[in-house]
Amino acid sequence: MTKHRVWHLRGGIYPPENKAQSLQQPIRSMPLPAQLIVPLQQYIGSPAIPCVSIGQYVFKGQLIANSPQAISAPVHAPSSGIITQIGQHPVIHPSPLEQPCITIDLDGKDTWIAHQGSPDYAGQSQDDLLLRIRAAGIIGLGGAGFPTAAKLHTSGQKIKTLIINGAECEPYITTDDILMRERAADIVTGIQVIAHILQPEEIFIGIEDNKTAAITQMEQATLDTGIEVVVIPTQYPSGGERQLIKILTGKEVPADNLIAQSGVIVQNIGTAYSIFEAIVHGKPLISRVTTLSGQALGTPGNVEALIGTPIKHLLHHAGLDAQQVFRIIVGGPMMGFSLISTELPLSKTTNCLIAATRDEMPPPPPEQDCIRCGLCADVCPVTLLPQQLYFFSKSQELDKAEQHNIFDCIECGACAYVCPSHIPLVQYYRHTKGSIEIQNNKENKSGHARRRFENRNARLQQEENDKIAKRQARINTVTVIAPVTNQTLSAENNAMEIARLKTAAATSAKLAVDAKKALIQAERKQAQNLDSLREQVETLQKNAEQARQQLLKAQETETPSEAAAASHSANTATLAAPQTSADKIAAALARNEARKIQQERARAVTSNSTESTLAHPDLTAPNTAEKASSTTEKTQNTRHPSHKDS
Amino acid sequence: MTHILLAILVIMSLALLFGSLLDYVALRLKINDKGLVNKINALLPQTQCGQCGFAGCQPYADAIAHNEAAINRCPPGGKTTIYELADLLGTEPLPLNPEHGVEKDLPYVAYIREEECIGCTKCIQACPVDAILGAAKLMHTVIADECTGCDLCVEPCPVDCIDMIPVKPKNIDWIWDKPQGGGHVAFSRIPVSSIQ
Repeated sequence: MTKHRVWHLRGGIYPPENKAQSLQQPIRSMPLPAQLIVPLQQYIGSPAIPCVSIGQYVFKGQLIANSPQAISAPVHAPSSGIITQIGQHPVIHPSPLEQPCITIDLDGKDTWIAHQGSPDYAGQSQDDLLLRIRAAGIIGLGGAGFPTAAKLHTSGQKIKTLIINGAECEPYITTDDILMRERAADIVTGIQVIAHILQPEEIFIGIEDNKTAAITQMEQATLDTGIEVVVIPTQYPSGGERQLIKILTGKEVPADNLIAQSGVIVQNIGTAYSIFEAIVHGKPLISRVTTLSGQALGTPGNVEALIGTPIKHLLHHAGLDAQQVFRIIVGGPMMGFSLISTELPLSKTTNCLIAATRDEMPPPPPEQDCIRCGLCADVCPVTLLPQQLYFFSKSQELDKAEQHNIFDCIECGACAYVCPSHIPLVQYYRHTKGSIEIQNNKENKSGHARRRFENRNARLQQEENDKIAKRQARINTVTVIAPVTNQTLSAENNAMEIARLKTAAATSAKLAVDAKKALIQAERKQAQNLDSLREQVETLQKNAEQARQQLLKAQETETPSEAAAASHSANTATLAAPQTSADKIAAALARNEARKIQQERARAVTSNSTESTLAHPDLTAPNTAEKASSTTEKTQNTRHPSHKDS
Repeated sequence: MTHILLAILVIMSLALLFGSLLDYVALRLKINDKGLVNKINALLPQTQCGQCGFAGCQPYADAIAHNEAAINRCPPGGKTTIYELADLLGTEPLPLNPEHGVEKDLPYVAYIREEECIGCTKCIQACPVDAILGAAKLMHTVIADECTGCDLCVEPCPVDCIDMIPVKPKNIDWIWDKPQGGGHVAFSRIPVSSIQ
């Protein structure tokens, strides 16, 4: 067998591996905990939606949350028991925020739901296999947790190379190593299922040369299968997706391309094993192999743990020395993070828990200023400029950081590992990436608000325009009638004309009466400008008289032409009254004044009457009120005849 | 003598040539007024709150573009927006004018206490982005995702049933803390460079 060529990966570091301590024992299974807290969002994408209710009994492997979206995976009960809670719970995440979880109180019987698999994967269609992988809730177990079915669904894209990632370059973690040692044949079956779906031309398993036992096992298991085990040099981060592609194929995947577009798909060893379990045994992803390591543990090793098991339970059964433990790190010392609490549940992507002593992982020295030594740029596997990114991150120059391709950073931590100033570079980059995303969200939101604002303004403008158009239309209909009456000499039109004259006369009469009333009130209040008011009243009265006369004339003659003429003059009379704006304002002012006086008087009257009725039962107050009402009646009476007259 | 005259002539003609060229370029490449307004408007936070004294972000952008208003009148945008505007316009950034309000450190969203709402529709008319849903004499409610937190609905409410509450942080908005910088120990620091 010719040896496959291995390309050189630029940069990278060689940290102490610390893998031996967790490889002393075979994969153990853990005693059942009393309770499981199953996170519903344990992968990239939207959270699954619970499809069970509180108090319901669920079997092991029963679907408890589903999601209709493509980039998501359903969640199954890892053991049998009763659902006690569906709600928010803290999960393994660098943030203290809570996420939706389903809590199951276990009955300890671990009763499986009916399930069925078949070793004859070759007889099934690709779509069927993809559906079963999706239904089993399988996600990438390497770390990022991308739903596997979505990744394998290439939508017609031809895949040339299938790469199985057994590099496992991060210190301490040995889950893939031990899986390959103990379950090589099952993993190969899982790989063959993937190969059946993708039909690639070549299949490589990339394993770092520090895993000799695993390499031997895998080479034996892949004999005569067309799968090639490629031994790659131990170098961190060779297990990164794009890095492994580079090492095994020499291809560099463009930053803005999806990896599948380059005809390559990478799957993790653990993922291949869970695909085997799902297809051949019909078991959904309800447990995973996790490395428990660190000097604070009595019996470090790999355990097959149920998803949702509290970390406390796992560490306890691995002999955690509570006196010795200094910090608990999840996900490896290079890319993981410290946990604040051990009450958190294990998720599908938790590949490693390190309970470290103070000697093992002492607190880091304080951060110093950058001395521009350039070591970080030497080790960066993505050939970025870590220094520049650091300066931009520190000064929050987000656009410049983006221009310097901060989003291509895989956060491997090589730069921070070699930094002699102990600058937590990756944390700066993570913060900056988050800030850029928040800024983009804000921009999207403000753009959305602007569009809504503009739409609203357009709508209000449209409403206003419609109103004006309607008003114009009404005015037009009135003016259209007038010329028609002038031309057609029918009696009907004549009658209409007279009616119009009647209204005109009535309006002007009313105006005159109102003005007169206002004048009276003003006189009573001894307001200024009485003379001018008086004049106005006179003109108004004159106008009214004119209008009446014209109407009478029109009624007498009944000759349309004259009627039309009369109507015209009547119109001018009515218009003249309100249209001299000064008059109008004066009249309005006077009316307003009068109204005020009336209100005041009424108030005085009522207060008087309430206050003094007891002492002076027949005082003037009610009388004035009576008088007031009688005068209003009178004015109404006087007004009515004028209507009738006209 | 002729040499000197020639030199002066050449220099003058060159000056004339470049002067006219500059003029032509200035005319030809004049900043499109509308373009500038749009650019300014894109930097404003679009809360449409009117705290700047204009009837929304677009009119304020218009005023800035025509040198009729200072760039420090937008409290919702705060320092960031002022710096961005100063950057765009090539002016000095100014501190936020307190006359127009203070910058809030948290995003806010309007919340209607629904049992107290009398259904007067006044807040609906006040909302610049149509984020309030309801009809006359029926309960109103705020569409939280559309609300810009501009405050404009609080004033018109006759029964004072609208509160401005801080937006609950969402998981998706969580980001890593910025390291504290020189001299500090980043305790949760990853990677652990001191592996023994």
